Amino acid sequence: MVFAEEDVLLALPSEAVLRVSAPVAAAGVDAAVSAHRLLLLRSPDGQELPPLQTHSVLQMRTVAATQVCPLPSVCTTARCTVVSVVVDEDRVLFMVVDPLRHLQRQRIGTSSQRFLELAV
Amino acid sequence: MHIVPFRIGNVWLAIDAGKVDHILGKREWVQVPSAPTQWPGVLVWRGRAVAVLDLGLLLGMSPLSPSVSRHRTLIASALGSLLAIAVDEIREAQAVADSLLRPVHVTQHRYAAFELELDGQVMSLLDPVALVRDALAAASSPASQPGSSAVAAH
Repeated sequence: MVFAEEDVLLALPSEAVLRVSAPVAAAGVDAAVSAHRLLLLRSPDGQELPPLQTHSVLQMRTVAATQVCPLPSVCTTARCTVVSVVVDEDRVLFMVVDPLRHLQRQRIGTSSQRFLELAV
Repeated sequence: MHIVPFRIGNVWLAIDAGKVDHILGKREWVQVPSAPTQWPGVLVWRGRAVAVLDLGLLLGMSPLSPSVSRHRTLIASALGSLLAIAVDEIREAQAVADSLLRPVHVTQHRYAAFELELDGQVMSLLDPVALVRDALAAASSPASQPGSSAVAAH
């Protein structure tokens, strides 16, 4: 399941996605501008995880195993959620993220934003 | 030994030719979200994702950006890892006597233990092994593991 986040194409393994909610608009805001979807995820052992929110168009893509390359170790950090890179000839198509880590990162980002808003 | 001189901005450096896998032209690369600042993204070469090294950043220059390319790309290898270095110019490999290598004195770069003078130009001999070793150590440190409270500093 491919989606865009901050101008970068990311993807979740399809087996991690339980279902996708219908577009949800924020109250009082034009749905065409603010509609977001919730990706309902599951962990590798089948446990349901909190939903991942995205404002992006979603696309299901199938790629060959040979197109999936591990992310070079030197590119990893505690905050980096990318685990592999999907390639085609000489370009990167999109990057696969770890669902749980990406979810944690999104929740930390949301909490930080709320803290900043409160501080202001 | 044989060395390959290359330039980033107005800084000349050299690398052991034995560490150079390939020399390419301008290559498109993509930014990896939350990657280390000196390893900001990847490019594709021979079906593999190769880490992009922002050597200019280590030299005090502005960070690389996917929208701004340098003319050449040097693919090097160290400790089993491939790295792509975007550079402005590359010269032909040259044989230099080991006696011409001296400890760094004129040039001061973190990842260069030696320097040499070629055609009146003093240049550091880049040590890609030290670069990759540091990066791998940072990536595998407890602070860099998911769930740890500290963010790895680079």
